[in-house]
Amino acid sequence: MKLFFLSIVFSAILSWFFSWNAFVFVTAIMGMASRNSWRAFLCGFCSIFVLWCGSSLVLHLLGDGVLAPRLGAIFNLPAWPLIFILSGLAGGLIGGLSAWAGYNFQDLVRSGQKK
Amino acid sequence: MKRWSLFLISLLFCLGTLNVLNHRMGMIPALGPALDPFHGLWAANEIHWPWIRRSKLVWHSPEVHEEIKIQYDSNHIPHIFAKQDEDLFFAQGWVTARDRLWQMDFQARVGMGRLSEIVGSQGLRRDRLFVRLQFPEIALKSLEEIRQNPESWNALQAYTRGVNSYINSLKPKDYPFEFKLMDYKPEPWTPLKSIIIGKLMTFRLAGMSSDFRMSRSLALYNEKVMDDLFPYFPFNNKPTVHEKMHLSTNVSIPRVPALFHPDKRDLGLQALLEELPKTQLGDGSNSWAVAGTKTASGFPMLANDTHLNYSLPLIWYQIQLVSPTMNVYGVSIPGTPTVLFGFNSKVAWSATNGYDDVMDWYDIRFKDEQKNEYWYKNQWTRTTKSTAIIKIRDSSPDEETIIRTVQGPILYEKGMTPLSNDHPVGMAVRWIGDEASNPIENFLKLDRAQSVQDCESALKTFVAPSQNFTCIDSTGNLEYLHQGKIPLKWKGQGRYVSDGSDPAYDWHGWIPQEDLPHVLNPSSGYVFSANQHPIDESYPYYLNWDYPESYRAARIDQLLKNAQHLKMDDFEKMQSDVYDPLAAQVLPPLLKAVKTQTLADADKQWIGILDKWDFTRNLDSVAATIFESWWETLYTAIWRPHFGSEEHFAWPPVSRTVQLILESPNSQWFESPKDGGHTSLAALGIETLRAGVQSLRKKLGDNSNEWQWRRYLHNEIPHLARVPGLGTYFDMGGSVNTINANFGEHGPVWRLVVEMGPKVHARAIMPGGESGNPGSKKYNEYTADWSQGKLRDVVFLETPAAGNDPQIESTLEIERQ
Repeated sequence: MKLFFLSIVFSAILSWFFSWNAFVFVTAIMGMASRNSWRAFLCGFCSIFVLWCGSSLVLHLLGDGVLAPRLGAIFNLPAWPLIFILSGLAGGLIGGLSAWAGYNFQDLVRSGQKK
Repeated sequence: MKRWSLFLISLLFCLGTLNVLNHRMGMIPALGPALDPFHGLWAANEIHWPWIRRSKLVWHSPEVHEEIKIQYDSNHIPHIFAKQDEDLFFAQGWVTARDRLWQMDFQARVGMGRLSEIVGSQGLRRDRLFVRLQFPEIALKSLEEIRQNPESWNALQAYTRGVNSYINSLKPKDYPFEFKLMDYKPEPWTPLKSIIIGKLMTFRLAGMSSDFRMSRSLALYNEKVMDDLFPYFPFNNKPTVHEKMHLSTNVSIPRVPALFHPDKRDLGLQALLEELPKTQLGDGSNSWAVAGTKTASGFPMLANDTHLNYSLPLIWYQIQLVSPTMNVYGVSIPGTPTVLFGFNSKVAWSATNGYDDVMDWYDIRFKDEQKNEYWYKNQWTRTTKSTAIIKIRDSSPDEETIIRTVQGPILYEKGMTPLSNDHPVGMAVRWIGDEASNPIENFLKLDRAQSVQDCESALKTFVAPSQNFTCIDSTGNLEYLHQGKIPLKWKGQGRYVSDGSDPAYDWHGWIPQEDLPHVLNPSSGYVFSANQHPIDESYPYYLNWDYPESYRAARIDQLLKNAQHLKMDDFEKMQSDVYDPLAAQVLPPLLKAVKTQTLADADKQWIGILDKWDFTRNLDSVAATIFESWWETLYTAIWRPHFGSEEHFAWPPVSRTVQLILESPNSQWFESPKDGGHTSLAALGIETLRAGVQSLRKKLGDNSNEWQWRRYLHNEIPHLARVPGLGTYFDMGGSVNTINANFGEHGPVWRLVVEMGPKVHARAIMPGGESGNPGSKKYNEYTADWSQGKLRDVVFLETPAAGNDPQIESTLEIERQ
């Protein structure tokens, strides 16, 4: 749980200063600290999903509230609130995959060390 | 081994997905960067932190001389206060870029033929048009002209510096929305781009001609028939100038040569490209002004509403410019300095499109396929050739070879698809945009005008697009000026395709500026222009034969003729008037005619509805819809059998058709040339009424109670680049011939009412908003009020408002670093 929140915070910090995919370093490390590959993927996915979906929702609520429906129309969504989900999915997918790769990496290294 | 492969697979998946999300797919932006809430499209979301309101933002630049103060009122319109003109135009550039940078970039690209660089091959046809019209070259000519005038040159340079100063301050996450969406970056602004944008406006308003379709119609009949069906003046002409003008006596009008009949092959009747639109619905406008004798205040009043295509962001940008040399409020075009139309404390002015014939096509006889020589003045004359490259995103560039004769470039070569059916293939084009001009000088002088005489002298050198200007001043004067550089032609020159070998068809110089239609303080006490003929048959010079229908003008005249004690509210109401004079004129005789026929019960139902109609194009009106469908069907049914498709042949104007219905109901033109076709107006009338109703059933359903006019009107304001989701819808009545000329995504894109006096008062509104950012509420905040005909009070400041003035929402200061 702690890992989950730390991941969100550090990903947010990295994203603010660097490019959109900078968070992969955080999620990869998080994946390395996970107990199994499923938890790794889930943790990575959920943390970035929450970060991106949540951030876009917060921006929407704080702002004029006119952009989200327009984005929904541009992406041809059946209902515009899905745009928050779509944003979450885009980031979450990378988050999950990088965490999974991270887990597999440490698993590989650890099994090598055991030998 | 298993762990290795698992790791590699997961790594591959991760990197692969990263790659996919990082790359654009066609016109869909890279999803990763786009949906990133920190830097992507979401960053356009405008947040108004409460502590920013009423506060001051200070910005530093080494390029300003002294402090510049910019106050934004509650309509988010900037009011710029500068201590010198260079700072003023620097700030205008900066402030306009802050709100509309993408629009400026996009419009410049359209004019330079560089759309394909960002949208790929779908932009090629449009780019070809502007590249082959040689827009960059003609803009350079104007740039050279502007360089000769230091004041205009400095204003242009300062504006450019302001725009670039803003662009340079942007980080990628700050790029305007559409740049991110279409995946490209803003590039530096140049003075040439400002000129290009001006030329684009000229093309929109003066780049029209029906010569080609007219020549085809001529080929079907003869000159006598054409003169009869396409008269030089409509029977219901309502010219702006009906008082006698004092004109030069020493200008000789060119002699009329024998009419040129182009070779039928050159008329390209085989290349009937059905899917092409003919030239778009004409851009026009309304403007009227009354002297103090007709107003409650005793001071003159002016109303202007400009008609253009709707778009978000809008073509206009409202602004107030204040410096020691000027204090002016009005609309500007993003991308160029100065205010174009508006007012200051002493003078107000407006414009409607002039519609003179300043674009002609020339049939060229080349010596051979090489096209190095063409027949002109009885000898073989050399052409000049140039090449241009059009870059295309994700594809190899397109190379254009442009052949130029003395008249102008061959716009389309055989094998090319024109953008419009009014553009012939293989012919040279001469148009007014080719002339060098310095519009900045004209508008600088207008902005500083203090009397109608100043307006007059400001417009003396105005080139294009020709406009009907109206000026009023605080002393009580009222002046109308039809201004522009208009070619001296013989009567009817350019009505059809011209003979490229005969110098009689060249432009014979220019109409002397002092002889252009004008009137100062008319005895009637008012002037009006709705793009109709500025003059009547008594005017010696030939301007054009084809102007928008006089119906709007007639309605304005009707409302002003006997009006007294007029107030601003009255003008505001007039601008929203949806009474249709065309319907009022043509429907009663049509109904009378069809009632002589055998009618079914259904017919009686529709006729009953139409009988009760008050001729207003209100949103709820079913009669308006039925009339529209009937009229469109009738007009087509009259002329199609005689002329073929309207896409390819010129059809007689609406006014001539109405005249025939009113005065010659037994005319041969109501008979179909085919056997078994209709034989009289009455029979044609009932037939087309039924067909019109049938087409309504298909479009709007069987329940006639649901045929409200609002469902027939397509009331949409699309995005400038037609991106779905970035436009808006609205609810407003009107039609082509009503004062509120709202029809087909086209209509009043600015409404202004000004009353002169010891203190000038003005109200204005436009659809959309000041901001081009779709993430801001300022993008579309005016549309609701505009669609209801509500204008907003203009905040016109003489000096910067106090810090706590409720009219001012925020302040921006630009200081020297």
